[in-house]
Amino acid sequence: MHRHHPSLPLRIPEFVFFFSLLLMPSSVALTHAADLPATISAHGNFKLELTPSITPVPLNRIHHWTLHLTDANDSPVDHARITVAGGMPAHNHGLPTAPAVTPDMGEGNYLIAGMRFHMMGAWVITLTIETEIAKDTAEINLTL
Amino acid sequence: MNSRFFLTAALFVLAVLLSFLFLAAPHSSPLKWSESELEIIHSLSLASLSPPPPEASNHVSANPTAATLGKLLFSDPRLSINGEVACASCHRPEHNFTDGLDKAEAIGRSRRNTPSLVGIAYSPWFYWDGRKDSLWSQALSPLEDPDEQGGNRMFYIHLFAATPEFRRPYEQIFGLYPDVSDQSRFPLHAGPGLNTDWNNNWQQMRPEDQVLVNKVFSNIGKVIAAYERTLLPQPTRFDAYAAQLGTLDEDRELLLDSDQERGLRLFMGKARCIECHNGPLFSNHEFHNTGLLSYPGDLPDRGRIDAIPMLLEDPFNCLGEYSDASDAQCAELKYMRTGIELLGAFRTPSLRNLADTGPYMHKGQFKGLREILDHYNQAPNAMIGHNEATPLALGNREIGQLEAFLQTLMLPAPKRE
Repeated sequence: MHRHHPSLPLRIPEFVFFFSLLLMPSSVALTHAADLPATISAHGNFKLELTPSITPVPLNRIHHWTLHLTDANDSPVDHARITVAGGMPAHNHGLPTAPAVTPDMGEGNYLIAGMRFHMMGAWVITLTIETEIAKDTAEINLTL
Repeated sequence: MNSRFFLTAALFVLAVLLSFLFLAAPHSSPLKWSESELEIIHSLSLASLSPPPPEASNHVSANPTAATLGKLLFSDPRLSINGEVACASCHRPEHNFTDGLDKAEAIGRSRRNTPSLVGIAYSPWFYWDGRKDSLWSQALSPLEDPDEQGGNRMFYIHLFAATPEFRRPYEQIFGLYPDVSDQSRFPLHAGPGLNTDWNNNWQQMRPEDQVLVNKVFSNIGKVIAAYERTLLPQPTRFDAYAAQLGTLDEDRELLLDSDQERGLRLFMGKARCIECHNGPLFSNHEFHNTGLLSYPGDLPDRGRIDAIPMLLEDPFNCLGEYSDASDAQCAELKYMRTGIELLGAFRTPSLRNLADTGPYMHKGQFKGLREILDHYNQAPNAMIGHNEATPLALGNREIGQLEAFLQTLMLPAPKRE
């Protein structure tokens, strides 16, 4: 059914509506991080490929991520010491859990257990990776 | 001359636009929702709530016989040292499983407000500070709390042994009830805690008898939990509205009026409620310091930060020997965080339990929704820790719209014609 909007005043509320959309805070945008893109660490020492056990990354459900870690030559990196931190910069708070990285499972694979996100919005996950040769950090941006 | 004309004309146009912003727009109904707003509205709807996940640490959590016995126990005042207090004395079904008091009153007066139990099965944490990690483990605490049901675990074990209406279904669920008739091994009163006599009796029991008693005691918690797990939220007017939005019939009368719709938009946007009150239960089940004032005469409550060591030491936690879960099923406990952020932090309550559950907050600090909304609008400094919330700069009208929206969570969904 076509709705007739003949005169200017009837259009203005619609204009106001769309204008207000522009002003609305970004928290309304619900974008799903289906697959996380590969990330290069800050100094280029490592490439991280992360795969959440549940996609899209869910709200309020504890789950795990697997990490495939390679070096600048695309060779798998084993025996790295990895810690996970993170939070929501806009809210000045950290993760709701204390995730732990299991010792390496070989071929550059690791398990990051205990991931949970309790708010929609922009998250930053920081992984610190240390080997005999290099120490580097990588920031993963995730919007729920 | 020309520039003055254009300035006047521009001001006039601006005035017209502003008058529409403040006068015309708020009355135009219904709102048009963006795709992302619609997605969020549906994520809040009860239609997106799955059945409660099985409680891995409680192998009878979905057992109907356990739920039936649990319901009986929930309302039976014999489960108290003075025979006068049941779970239902404070979690009153007619009050949406709360008691209408600031702080719970049973044998004594509790430190905190009685929370509702509707939809509780979905939470990984229990109590305002989350000091329990399962529904069954939580159910054990009031039984031994001197201010609540005031008993001791040995007292309850004997009560079950002597009460056929408890014992028979217990045996159907768990097998033969242990013989606790030898009072030299199983005194009438024994249990760890502040009561010196009961505690001494408990300490003198053989470790294997303590384990046996703990096992039966935890089973009592598990049947109560099986009942509590069945307390689920019912569809509200908001849920019916969300379902309406899925079907595009623009001429149909919507179930939310203009103020309620605008309250919903504020809830998801400017008022930032959705940051914590998200998902179909309107709760992220997490712990936040929102700068609540302490209760008159009370020191500020430290909340979640004090619950962490209690959880780790609790013999009835998910990783303990009375839990039916594997280590891998205890992820919440294993990867539990601590830190200064948790000082003065309390669990986000579901907003599906607003009707009949005031006073609100962990000590009943607020009597009504308006007070809560005013508090979040102002976001005062926290008495201890740091208030995560920031002032919202909402006007009176907007607060009224938010309240109107919250009312739609209290109203039942209209029956289909």
